[in-house]
Amino acid sequence: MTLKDMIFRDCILTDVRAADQEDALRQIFEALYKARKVKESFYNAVLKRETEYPTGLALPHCNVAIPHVVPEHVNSSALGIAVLREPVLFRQMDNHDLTTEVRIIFNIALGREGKQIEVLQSIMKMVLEKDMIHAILKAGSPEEIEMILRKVG
Amino acid sequence: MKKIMVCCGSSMITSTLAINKLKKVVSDAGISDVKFIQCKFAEVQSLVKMEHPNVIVPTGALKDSLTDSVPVVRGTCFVTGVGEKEAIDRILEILKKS
Repeated sequence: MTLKDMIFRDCILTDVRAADQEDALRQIFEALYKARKVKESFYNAVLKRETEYPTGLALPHCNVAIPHVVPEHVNSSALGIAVLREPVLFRQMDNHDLTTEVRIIFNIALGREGKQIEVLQSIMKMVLEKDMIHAILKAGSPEEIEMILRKVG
Repeated sequence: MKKIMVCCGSSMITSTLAINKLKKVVSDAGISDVKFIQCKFAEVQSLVKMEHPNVIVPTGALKDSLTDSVPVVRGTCFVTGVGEKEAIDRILEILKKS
């Protein structure tokens, strides 16, 4: 199980209009749930974990959030991605008092078979590459993002 | 023996990322006999009293009241890759002094 095995076109959302963090996470959840990747409990588990341990990351090229939950809420590993039209606020992972304006959410749904560490490492490597992140931000469709991510591995 | 406590929300994902990097850091610095204690944020308070680590590296925010005045170096950089060098220098400095 690597990042490549977790990419599904119907779990990638582009040009997402979201009122706030919850709205964005709900839209990703609906895509993951419809694709049968996650259980109904996934959404509340993500919200709860984000409240306790936020995952907003302020990074040089684009701020992202990487919500992830324990495998019991997941049927099979998938990466839910939302590229937002306008940023929404996430609290920062390393300082809960600060918020960051997030443009891309990588909602990591890892089943028990997933190699979580490798997957997270691939995602972080990707979001730190300027060209890569700009390509994702500019992509007009899930198909385009799927192609970009497949190249990463 | 030096002890580094690395913690995150689940004690599974981001703390493992940080430990993988720190293992290489301490071995490159020639510090042998380092014990890594991996735990959840919720376990820090009790484990600190039991293990007496030299330094705590949380990958997210950790309340000061839980750490029993053990030095804390923020380890979010080991997840993101941003600002790693400063954190590494600080951790090595603490380990060498203790």
